[in-house]
Amino acid sequence: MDEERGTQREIAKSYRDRVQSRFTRTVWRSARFLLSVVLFAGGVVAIYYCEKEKPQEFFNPGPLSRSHARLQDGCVSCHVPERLTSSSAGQPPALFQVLNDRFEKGAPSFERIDRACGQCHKQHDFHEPNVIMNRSCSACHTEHQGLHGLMAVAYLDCASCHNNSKIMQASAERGKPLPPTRFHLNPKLVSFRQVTLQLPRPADGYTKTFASFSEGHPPFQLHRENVRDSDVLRFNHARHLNSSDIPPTKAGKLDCNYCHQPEPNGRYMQPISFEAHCQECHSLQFDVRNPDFQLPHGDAQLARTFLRTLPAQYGELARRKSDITNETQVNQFAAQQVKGLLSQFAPYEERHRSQYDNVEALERAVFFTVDPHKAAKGFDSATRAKFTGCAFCHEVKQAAGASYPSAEITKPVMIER
Amino acid sequence: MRIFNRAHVPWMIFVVLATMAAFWIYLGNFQPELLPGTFRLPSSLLQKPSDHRSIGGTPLGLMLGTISLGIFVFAALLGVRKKLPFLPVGNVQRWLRGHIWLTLLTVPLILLHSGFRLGSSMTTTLMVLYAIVMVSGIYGLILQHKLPTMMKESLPAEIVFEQIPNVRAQLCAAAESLQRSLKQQATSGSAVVAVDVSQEEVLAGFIEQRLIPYLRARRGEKYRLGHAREVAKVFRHLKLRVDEEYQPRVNEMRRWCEERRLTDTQVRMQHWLHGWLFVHVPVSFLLLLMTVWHAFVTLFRY
Repeated sequence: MDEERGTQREIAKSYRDRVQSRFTRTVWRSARFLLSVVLFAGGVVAIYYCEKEKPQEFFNPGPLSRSHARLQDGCVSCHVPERLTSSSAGQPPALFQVLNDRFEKGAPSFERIDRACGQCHKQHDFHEPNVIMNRSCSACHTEHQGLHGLMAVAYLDCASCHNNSKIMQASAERGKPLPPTRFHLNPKLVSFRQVTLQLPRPADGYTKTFASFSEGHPPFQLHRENVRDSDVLRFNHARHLNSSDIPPTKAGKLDCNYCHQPEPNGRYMQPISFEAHCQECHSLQFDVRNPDFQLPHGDAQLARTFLRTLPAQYGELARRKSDITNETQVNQFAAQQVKGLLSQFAPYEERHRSQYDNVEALERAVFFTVDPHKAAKGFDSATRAKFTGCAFCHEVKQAAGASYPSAEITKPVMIER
Repeated sequence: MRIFNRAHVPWMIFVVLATMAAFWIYLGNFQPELLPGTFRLPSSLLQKPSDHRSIGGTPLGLMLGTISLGIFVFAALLGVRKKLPFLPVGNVQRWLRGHIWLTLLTVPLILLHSGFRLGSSMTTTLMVLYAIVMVSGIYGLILQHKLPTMMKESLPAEIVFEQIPNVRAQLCAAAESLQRSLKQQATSGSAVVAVDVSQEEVLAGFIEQRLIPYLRARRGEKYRLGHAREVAKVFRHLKLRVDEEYQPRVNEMRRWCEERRLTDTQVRMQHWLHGWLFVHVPVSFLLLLMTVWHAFVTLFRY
């Protein structure tokens, strides 16, 4: 024991008569107690506020998907509070049932959320009729993952069943007695807008196992059965991707991604369109002197009307030019341009001289001739018009019973899924 | 409380084993590919397949969260146990050991419950509160480990902290009493020996002008007498001005100053020793309240 300090008994003896109550409360201890009370009361007030106002940003673990972002009742639309009291006497308290359910199946209760999904998504079957284990909507469609998160299903979710041979075998067996008509793509999507390719269902269905779409996915039925493209558009994939006479685009050499781009949500590919994917090379400029003067696309009737009103169309073009100020100049410009346009098709005129004084001959060149400019030897490739003729890509037919030339263009079928 | 002694060893072993078991069960259920084949989880410890994305929502996650909440409640009961020492539920030391080690165990449990994610604003708030409580608690534990040794070295006579104001008041009262007695002696004996009277006046004046203000002061270190070196100097000068018969009184006054200075040192160290509780205790109660609410919302509303 430290001699200077003394024994505990000696120290205690020196303070024997100087000690008051054992429970003397210091200022610091009182302040600590007060601060605890204030913080606790603040917490109670904060909880009361949150229970009353339900600020979404406080509870929400992530932004909702676009389709759920404006639900009328907010969080309660999906997260319906549990009833914690029994509906009838004699039953065990609902509180214990709920607790038992949560510790057995987890929280939140997917059954409860699925019921809430069913309030809006009525008559919604799960996936395909041969599934052997019905899972929650939320198992694959995860909410609170951003605007497009609900539709972007991770491949692991697919693999949880499709990479399980037992599940897939059982699913194949279950699907065999079912009529083929029960299996189909989502009818809403098919009838809504999308052009889909539906091939006959294989006997076992689509039950081969695979780990992911990038690794080990079985060959698609389209390739496996060597299905021919039903589209009438004259588009040769091999030539566009491999041939050396296809010039590069602004984005570089043509590849799959130039046309086939996924939707922002990553679920399907975006539709192919002439304007976005073809026009950069397959221009509609058919008058070499007026680069802004282009044929309309997408409607044969509209194109025909355009050609039959060329003086008026050139007149409109003249009015847009700043150096032409009066109608006389407009008419002169239109006449000159029509004449010039016809001269661009001179080689064709030579073969149809007897008819070429009217616009109908030009229509024939535009609709029925494959690359009408090809014969224009007088122009080099840099200056001649780029228009290759409708028949270069499309199936063009003479309308039955119509006066010549009356073209009908078979509408291309661009399969979207 | 010092944690490096034999009484803490079983707790330490328990916490290490429990942490390893929690990680094993967690990895076995959620990331079995990370476990070597020999450490595969038996099927009895595997939870039913769950579609829940957040670990905390799975049955295992809920169990981890519930255990943590239970530990929070137990930790909060330490204050109640201290207020009711007569309860036959183990002594306070044992409770404190449980408080320290079980709350340390909540660190892996909470991390596994959260799946190493912060989640929404609500759960982030909980994590921040939890971090404040744990950091302040561990800081307090370090202080409680270091400061008592330092106090023992620098405080020869430690006083019960709550009694320091009483001790200071008694020192003050003693000084005032001595001053009165000296003044009385000065007035009664002035006609006999003029020299002695002046010595008593000197002492009374010193007590009135220097000693009592220091003993009454809220913070003694602002005064000259609050510093050991100054005290030695001041009292050496004072001794030179008084005769032998007053030397014991000067020594007594010096002892009062020493005692007062030691109480100041003790107060300062006590503030360090217990100051962290100013953060730890209030935030702990807030954390407990918010955690109970989090559990309620998750189980019955979510």
